[in-house]
Amino acid sequence: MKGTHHQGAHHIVPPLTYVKTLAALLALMGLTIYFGGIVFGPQHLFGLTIDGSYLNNGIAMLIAVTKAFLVITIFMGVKYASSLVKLWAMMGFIWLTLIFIILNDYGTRKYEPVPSWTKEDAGTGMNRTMESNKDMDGRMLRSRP
Amino acid sequence: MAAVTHDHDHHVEGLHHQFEDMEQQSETYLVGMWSFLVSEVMFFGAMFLAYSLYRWKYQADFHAVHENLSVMWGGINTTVLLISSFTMVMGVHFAQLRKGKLVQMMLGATIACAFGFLFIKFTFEWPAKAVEHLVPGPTFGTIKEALHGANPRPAELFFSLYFAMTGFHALHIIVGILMLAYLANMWRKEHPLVTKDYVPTELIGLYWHFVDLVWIFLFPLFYLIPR
Repeated sequence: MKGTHHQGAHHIVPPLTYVKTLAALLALMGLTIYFGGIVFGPQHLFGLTIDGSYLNNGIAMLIAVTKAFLVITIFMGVKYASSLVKLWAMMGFIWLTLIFIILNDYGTRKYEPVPSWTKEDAGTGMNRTMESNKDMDGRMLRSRP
Repeated sequence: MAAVTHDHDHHVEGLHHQFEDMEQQSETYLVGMWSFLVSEVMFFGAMFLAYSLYRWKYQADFHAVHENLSVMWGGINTTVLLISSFTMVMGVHFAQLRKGKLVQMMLGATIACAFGFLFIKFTFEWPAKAVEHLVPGPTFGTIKEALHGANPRPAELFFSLYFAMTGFHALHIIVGILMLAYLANMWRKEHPLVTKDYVPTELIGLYWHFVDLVWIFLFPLFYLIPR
């Protein structure tokens, strides 16, 4: 078997590596708060115009994934672990890709999966007659045409 | 380090009889823990999917009502959890060096951070939502100002997801505190299961880092929603 050196002998990581990782994680948290507060205008990419919020979301998720990567590789020690452990560590995130497949399904449907499943609907289609479904003047909120 | 030669009858410290050697034992431990964590990713993944769908459909309402959450408390809690992950990994580091006193100190610091996190959740964050009628239920959204202009039903979806996801996360923190306390006590009693082999301490560490991982995604998704 190859790689027995690394797997058998406990890999002792110098504490400074952990300190640097913590500093990087805190800096990334600062960055994500900073970019969360910026209002981007419409973005023009490859001839398409997309809403500025997509850029916020993209940056926020990119930073979150980077933080997760640091925690998994260094703090959880996957970087120093055996191939089998690495495979298991990746398994959960492979499963998460299913989420995108399901999102694709919702995004490309031609019918509404549930009542009020449109952006125009204020959410009143859930058929609840309650105080909170009324506007400031006491009228029932209605779906906007 | 070169492998120490020993005959088969010789007892290897920390090795349980069903394993061939420490290497096999450690890998079995770690794969067992990781397979549990994969099931946890699936558990939280379903909720993240529900969140993504409703956020996608009600972006404007989610943005409006998210202003009710405090980025300051969210940021402080993120900092507290990141520091707790650091103290945890230092605990594992000292476990490798078999410095029991330092392990106990680091586990204690991790538990203190965990309590700090829960304290902020239980005092400054969740109870304020009850006062503002933002807990999903019959009176949800009856205080219009608290909705920050969001429509009540999508806002109710937002807070249903908020309480479900941060609630299950907090539950994991509570379970983590119990496990860390149990582990610290084993170190205090110098139980051979933890002192002769650092991997059991590492396993609790893996769980703790997972709890941190979930929060790394919860924080931007709930506290930093763009317009």
